[in-house]
Amino acid sequence: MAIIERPESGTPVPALAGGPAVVGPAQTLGAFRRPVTTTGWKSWLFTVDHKKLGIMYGVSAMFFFVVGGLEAVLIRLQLAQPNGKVLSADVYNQMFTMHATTMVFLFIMPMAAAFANYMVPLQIGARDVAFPRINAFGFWAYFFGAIFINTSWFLGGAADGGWFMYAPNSSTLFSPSHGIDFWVLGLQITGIASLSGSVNLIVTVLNMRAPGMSLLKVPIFTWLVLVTQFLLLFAMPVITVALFLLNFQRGFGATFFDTSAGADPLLWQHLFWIFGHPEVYIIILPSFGLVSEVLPVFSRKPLFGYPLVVFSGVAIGFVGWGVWAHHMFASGLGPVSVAVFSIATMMIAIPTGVKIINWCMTMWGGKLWYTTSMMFAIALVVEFTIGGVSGVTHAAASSDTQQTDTYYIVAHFHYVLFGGAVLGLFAGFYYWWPKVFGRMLDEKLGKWNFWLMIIGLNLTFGPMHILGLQGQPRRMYRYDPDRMGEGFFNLTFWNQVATLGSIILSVGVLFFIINVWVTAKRPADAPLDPWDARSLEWLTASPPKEHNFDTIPQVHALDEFFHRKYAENEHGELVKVATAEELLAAEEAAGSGHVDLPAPSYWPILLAFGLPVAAYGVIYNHIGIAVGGVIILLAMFGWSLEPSYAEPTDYDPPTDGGSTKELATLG
Amino acid sequence: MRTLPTVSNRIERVSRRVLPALGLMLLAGCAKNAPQDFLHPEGDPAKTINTVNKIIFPLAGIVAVLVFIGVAVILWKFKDRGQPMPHQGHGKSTIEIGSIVVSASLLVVVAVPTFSTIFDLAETDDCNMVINVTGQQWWWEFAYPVQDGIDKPIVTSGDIVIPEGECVMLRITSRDVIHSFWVPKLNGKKDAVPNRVHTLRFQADQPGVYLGQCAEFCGLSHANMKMNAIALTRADFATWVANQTAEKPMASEGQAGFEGQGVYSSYCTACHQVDGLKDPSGNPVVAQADTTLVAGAAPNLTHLMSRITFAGGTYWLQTEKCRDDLFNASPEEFGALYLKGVDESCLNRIELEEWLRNAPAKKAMYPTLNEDGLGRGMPYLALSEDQIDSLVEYLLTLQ
Amino acid sequence: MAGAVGLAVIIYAFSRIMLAVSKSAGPAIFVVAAALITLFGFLFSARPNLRTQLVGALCAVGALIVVAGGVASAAVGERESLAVAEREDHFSAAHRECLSSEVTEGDEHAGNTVAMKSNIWATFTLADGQLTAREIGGKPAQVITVDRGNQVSVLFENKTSESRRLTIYAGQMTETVDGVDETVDHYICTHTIEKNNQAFLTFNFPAQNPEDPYYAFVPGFEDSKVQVVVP
Repeated sequence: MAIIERPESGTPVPALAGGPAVVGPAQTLGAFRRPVTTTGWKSWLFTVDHKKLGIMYGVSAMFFFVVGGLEAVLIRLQLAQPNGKVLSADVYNQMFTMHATTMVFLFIMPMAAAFANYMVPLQIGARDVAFPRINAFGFWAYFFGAIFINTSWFLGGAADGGWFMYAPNSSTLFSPSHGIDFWVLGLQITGIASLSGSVNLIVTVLNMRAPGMSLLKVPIFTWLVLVTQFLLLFAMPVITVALFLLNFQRGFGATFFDTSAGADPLLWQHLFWIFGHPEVYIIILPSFGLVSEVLPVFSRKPLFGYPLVVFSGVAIGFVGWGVWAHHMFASGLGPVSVAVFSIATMMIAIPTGVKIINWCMTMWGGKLWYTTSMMFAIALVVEFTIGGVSGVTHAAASSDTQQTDTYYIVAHFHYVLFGGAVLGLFAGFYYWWPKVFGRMLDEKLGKWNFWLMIIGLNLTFGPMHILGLQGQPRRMYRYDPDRMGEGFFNLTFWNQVATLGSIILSVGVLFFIINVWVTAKRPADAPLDPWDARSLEWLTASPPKEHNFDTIPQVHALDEFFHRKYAENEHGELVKVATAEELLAAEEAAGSGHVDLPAPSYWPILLAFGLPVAAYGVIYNHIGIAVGGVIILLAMFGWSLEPSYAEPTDYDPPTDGGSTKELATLG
Repeated sequence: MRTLPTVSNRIERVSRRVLPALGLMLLAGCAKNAPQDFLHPEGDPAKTINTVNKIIFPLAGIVAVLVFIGVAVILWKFKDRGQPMPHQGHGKSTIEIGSIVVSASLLVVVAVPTFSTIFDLAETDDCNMVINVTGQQWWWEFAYPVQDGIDKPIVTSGDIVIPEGECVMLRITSRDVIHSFWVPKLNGKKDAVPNRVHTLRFQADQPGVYLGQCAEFCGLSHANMKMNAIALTRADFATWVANQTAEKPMASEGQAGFEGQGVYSSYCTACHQVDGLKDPSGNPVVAQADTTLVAGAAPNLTHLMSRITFAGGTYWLQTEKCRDDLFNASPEEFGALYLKGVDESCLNRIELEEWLRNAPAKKAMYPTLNEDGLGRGMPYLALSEDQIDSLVEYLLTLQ
Repeated sequence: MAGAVGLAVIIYAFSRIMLAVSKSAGPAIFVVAAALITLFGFLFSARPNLRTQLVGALCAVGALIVVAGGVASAAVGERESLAVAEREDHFSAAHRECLSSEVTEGDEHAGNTVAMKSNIWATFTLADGQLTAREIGGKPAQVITVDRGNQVSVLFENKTSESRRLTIYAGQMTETVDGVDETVDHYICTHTIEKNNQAFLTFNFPAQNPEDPYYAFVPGFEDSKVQVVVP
């Protein structure tokens, strides 16, 4: 998109002035005219706007949340009876593998990316991310990768090795179907998305902050997103290597995990968990950031101990690398390694505990307003605490040898991931919906959504603590009533409670979807600042203009927006000195009038499309690799020869044919 | 400024109701006599682990409840009742440092016992017996190496028989994928990893049955990979060893099981070993399961009827009544009852026959051969009803 | 095309050099070469105005040195140890004379190359003419019981003053010699290792062999046997 002052004559766009001569976009590879539409489906397919991409991330992630949720419900229905007949053993194994894969890689991570994409540039007062086309490419790589993985359901069965895909059970000898091939290649593609996204956001946050915004004035959500992106940057290469090894073993006869050739299967476990544990923080930290935004707003107080929350986030980011082997306490590492990792794991509880205390102290002394968003945030504090303390119980390695691979672990990480990450995302939905869509989500439906989800969550995952402590292992398509104990409260009973809970939980999520539907039908009449918010993203229209800000704001304080609205009077009381509307009007009046925005492009989506084509080729016919490779190569050339800013000649001339100095939305 | 209707604050009310209820559920909600409940250990290593559990679970519970109470108080106390805007303070360093110190010191309380038990449990020098444990899809093999009191190796599956009150060292490995050996009442898990040998302390304090199952996802029939630890007194254990190592003659014509022995020899010996079985020319019949199975071994059936399960622990070999008698026997009576084995009156004939009729239908397996001609699990054998009957007769002689 | 051929020539020449020089010189050459390449790469990029001809000339000189070295090395031949190995066909599995303790070419630091020391089933130790075996967690004994039908790895420690190898008698096998099937004794063994060194041996016995039990011994000390029981 470009918002430019139309040049009087054919003067070049300033961004290109002095640069090397490039092929004009209209002639790029002689094939396409650059996309310039602002409306219709094309404006979405070829967009590089971080806000549109954020929405697309969100919609796709929500779709996969529903898919993963249905998979979970099927799992729970199967387990409602000791010898459930809903799924066969084979399909059950595929189901729990894909449930975890979908929720982790195709829902939570992209949903966090949705928030990060949309909000980070707004929160730091930027007009877009640093590399808008890479941003678009990242989304499409995720989107095609996600679809690619899920096509395996229709092509002979999905992956059946568990999301941790332990070798050697993942080799073709033990899993002959193509499911794991789809899984490996699909995650490779979505991994490219994560990696390119992380580089993009790191550069954006470090380089594109508004003037005056020093690192300790960066909003907490952006801070924790930044930590997350660093974790991604270092974690994704590890899983990429592991996936390549597995891919080479399955596709090309390598023997990295072939025990008959002398391989040590623990290699895979180390590689997987060196990625896998930071991954946990990659999932949870954005939600921590979300509640750290939401709690202060609805407490009408700044975040308690902001630097401490930042540094504990960074500390989690560091220590998170030294705890991977706590997933392997039973795998025979030897007592010294086990002891070291056990202690390191306990240490990571400290920064996490600090966060809980900071959130409580943020609310302490506040003026609490219980909106749905706030309730989700408070629920996160409570539910995550349950997951946190159960996490400490398996930091004790000797105790963990009893807990690991039981439902107690399932309970733990669902309290962390659902009670933590997902509740945080929902808090974010309700908080930022008016910002993104200019409409308020219905609070009454929101309360239904909230309470059904909370009840469902605790009914589903609460009983799993009992199941695990009484010895029910994970990943079992059936269980044996003879091993389930006697009495009314036997383990079959608790399994049924969990199944009931999962249905309530699903209804809760359904209420959210209904809420979205109902809201979309209403007029876009949300107030400019419905929550009396604190950070920069509210210093612009809702939904924001394409160029985000008419003037790049000058930042003087953490919670800049709040401090522009409020000031202390002579009695030391906080009084409102300006409304959001007044502030916005002032910003608009000071607008410079000339804004260059990156223009849409065909190449990101085409490049991303080449990836699954090549991946199908790897699985079915190596000619496909060549076809995919040609697409990728072509797109890379097209991309690199295309300037990121469109020349004015790419746009249709003004309707009246003459030149104009008006502000015009182009491209 | 407020654009939404105020919402009545139900959080603290509900949390006051729900959270104690959750705690009660945890305490009172446990089944009676859950056989895999590790919070009621019955062997020394599991009891060692439980000393850590006894510190860490209550501590975790207390911390959680304190947070719940704290949140509930805050939600009630600082609800928006029209009070003025709060002071925009950013924090108090005393509270911040205090919170770090308090959470760190709590963890020290947990870390110290954890540290010592890790090393205590890794010790196996004081064990006076060794059993080799091998996992494969989807059953456990227990091999007793030649050692004091055992002068001929014993191979069994499903039941791991140990002398009570003595430390037994398990040497755990796998023939195909990763499994995890777990008898919750006796010790924590230890993974069975191909190409690696892991050791584990194993001990039961009283004679009895202790149930366990594979705890690491190991493919299709992971849910059906179970085992039972059987603890016997020293004397009973010696009797058991004597029975397992005794030479067993073949059934001769006219004896029970003779016909079934023929069926067995034609259909089963490719994979299953029965020691003492000879071919017509008098050579011992040695199963070569490595030519038919991915794992390279199938259960040794020489003393099938001395065990309590079959099909990798998936099914009970005894009828429900006999099993209840055995499971509820007092520690004194248990040994004699177990050593009696499974006789015709106690045999769970229905499920055993169903198994012989079509094994893959009773347990999810991959019997179809891969490109190397190897299968995983017992195939459908297309036996006639007569053959099944006589085979069961034969199996009943394998005491 | 020409570029590819040129690249292949350089790679081939470099491989000749690495095969000709002694084992310790190899890494040194590698480090120096890498350092030089990095250095020149840095210089070129730091001085982008450098004349193309100069850069090309420097590269050509480098390539010439490698090719010349390669030709010279090819003329000298591979280093002694590799040449011996080639002559004696060390790289074939059949090369190992399991029943002799004759020293052929072996790794001087065999123990350094043994990975997975924590995953062995048993350690065989030869000391004072006596071979004993100790299973993991067990005590020294004259019998070990291995897993049937599973890959078993054992470690051999040579505590004598001479080079020795561990040999396991693995039953009988049929071998076709000159078109005639013959039943011969089957042995598997480590290579010979020097004193205070270790070697790794992996085997898989699918089933018991009641008539003709397996055993391990060290050629030269045939009296001291360790029984290998397969249940």
